[in-house]
Amino acid sequence: MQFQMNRVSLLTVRFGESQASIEKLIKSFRYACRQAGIEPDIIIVDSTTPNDFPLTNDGTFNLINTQSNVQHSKGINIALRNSTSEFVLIANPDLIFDRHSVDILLSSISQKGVGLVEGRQVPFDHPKAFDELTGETSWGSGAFMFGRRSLISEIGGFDELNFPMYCNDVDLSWRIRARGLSIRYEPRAFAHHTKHLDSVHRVKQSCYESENILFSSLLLAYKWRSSRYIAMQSAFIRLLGSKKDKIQLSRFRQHTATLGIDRMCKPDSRSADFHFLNISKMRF
Amino acid sequence: MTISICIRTQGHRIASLTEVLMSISCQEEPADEIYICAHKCTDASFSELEELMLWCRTVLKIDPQLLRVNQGERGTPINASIDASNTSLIVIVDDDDLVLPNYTRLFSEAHGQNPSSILRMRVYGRYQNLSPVNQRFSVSNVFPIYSKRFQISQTMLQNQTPLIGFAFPLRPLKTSSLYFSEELKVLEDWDFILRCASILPVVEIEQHGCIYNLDRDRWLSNENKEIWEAARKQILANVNSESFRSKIETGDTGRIRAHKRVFQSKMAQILSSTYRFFLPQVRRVVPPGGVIYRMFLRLFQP
Repeated sequence: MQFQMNRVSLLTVRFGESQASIEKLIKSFRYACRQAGIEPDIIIVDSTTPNDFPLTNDGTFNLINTQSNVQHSKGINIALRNSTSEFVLIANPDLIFDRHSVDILLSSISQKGVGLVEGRQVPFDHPKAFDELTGETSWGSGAFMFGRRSLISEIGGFDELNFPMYCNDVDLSWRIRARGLSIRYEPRAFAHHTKHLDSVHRVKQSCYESENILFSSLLLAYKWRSSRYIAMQSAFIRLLGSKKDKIQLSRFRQHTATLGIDRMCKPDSRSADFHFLNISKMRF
Repeated sequence: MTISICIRTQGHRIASLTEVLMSISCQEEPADEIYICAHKCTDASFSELEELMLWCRTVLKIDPQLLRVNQGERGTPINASIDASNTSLIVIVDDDDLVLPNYTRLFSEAHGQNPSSILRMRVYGRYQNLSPVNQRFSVSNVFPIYSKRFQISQTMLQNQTPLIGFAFPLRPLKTSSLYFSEELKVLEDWDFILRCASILPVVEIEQHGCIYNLDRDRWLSNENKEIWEAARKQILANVNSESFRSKIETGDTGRIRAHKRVFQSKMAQILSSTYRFFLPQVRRVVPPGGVIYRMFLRLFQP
């Protein structure tokens, strides 16, 4: 299937974000596309429960109502199926794009061997390490990533079953890396992502978020690394983890036993960049 | 009309200015006026700023006003925006600072309770690193910088708050003709804060609302050392004047001596090569989601 090369699709999943926030996203994206001389295409998958903060569509974007919370992976996969552009910008709905961002991302993805490009988020960027010379990094954040629709579709999009919300971007990035392509961090392309800090000056995470990140990172390790590695992680949690961590561990065991998960035939430590026991090397 | 934001720029850092404008557009309580003071800009930079103004209309609720000032020193463009402002409070932001979503709300709320006071909030610091190759840009995590409380005795020796952490009530400024020095080439903020704090009360906001970016090579640069030293001497000479002596309260002299000792030892540390080496090495001990990493640290760290 041929996709339009002179077009960029913005794919986003809304979950209760305000009309004003969505308008900023749309306007800044359209402006950035105009600067890049490319046609914008906007697909918003609305996961908000009907009648809660309804979104008014002025005809400038394609709105898909799911009537229930389908979560990030499934939402983006739905948007991906409805897109006809070759280039897709996967973004959170509370982003504001810089006017040159699309232009820079396009030139970056056009380089040989690049499978996915991640932009910089302002004011709080993910602290994972990247190569200062090439910009190569181990994974790209799903809050602001740019890629080719053909490649993402070919590898099956996000894994909705095992990573509905968290670590889905890490898994997608590693599947792209397993194909011999690289993930690039492009700090010159930036977007504002509203975040708040907690009392210890770290980006605020909800309880749901912090619990599910541990669960998803265990699944990631299960999928990409050896059984010995999982045994070591489990031992750490049993030994030093909190009560909540242990609940997540048993949830993980139940999930792998009942649902099953496609493990890599051979543990792939080159694509999956576990650094110590974390999912990437940190730059600070 | 409560709050005006004045952004000072020379037009060299359009990308970071865009970041500032983005962070202003995400305020919980939007600002009433925004002034972008282009100081000694080239025509090319100014036209870039004009182009940026067009982009601003897509994200900001109000159109920022672009003021072009071609004369004077760093204080001159801020004075122009003080004169132009029609609100009751002004904040001054540099084009490489960042504000958090609660920034204007915190100031507006505190201003409602203390209409004639200078407001001071806590500021985060952050190191930024611009790699010479491919302009790869990275930032450290944020950390609280400077003292939690404002003390004029301490500020007399060293500025303890970046300008972004203050909001000034405009009416008292205008009636007392309190303006930024248009002669000082640097440290005009320290001078202004000292002069204002000697007349007006300073009210603390015990929350962080903004980020002050620090360059990694800041301590290593010897450029304009003489200008900095001359400005510092001029400000300290002003501190010794009668108007400041009257402001010193009981016990302040002892506090100044104590601060001076701390300040001098800190300076000695900064100048020593070991401290200079370790200072930029801001490391986040616990990365997000690193529950396992935390456990690992607990096991192997003494």
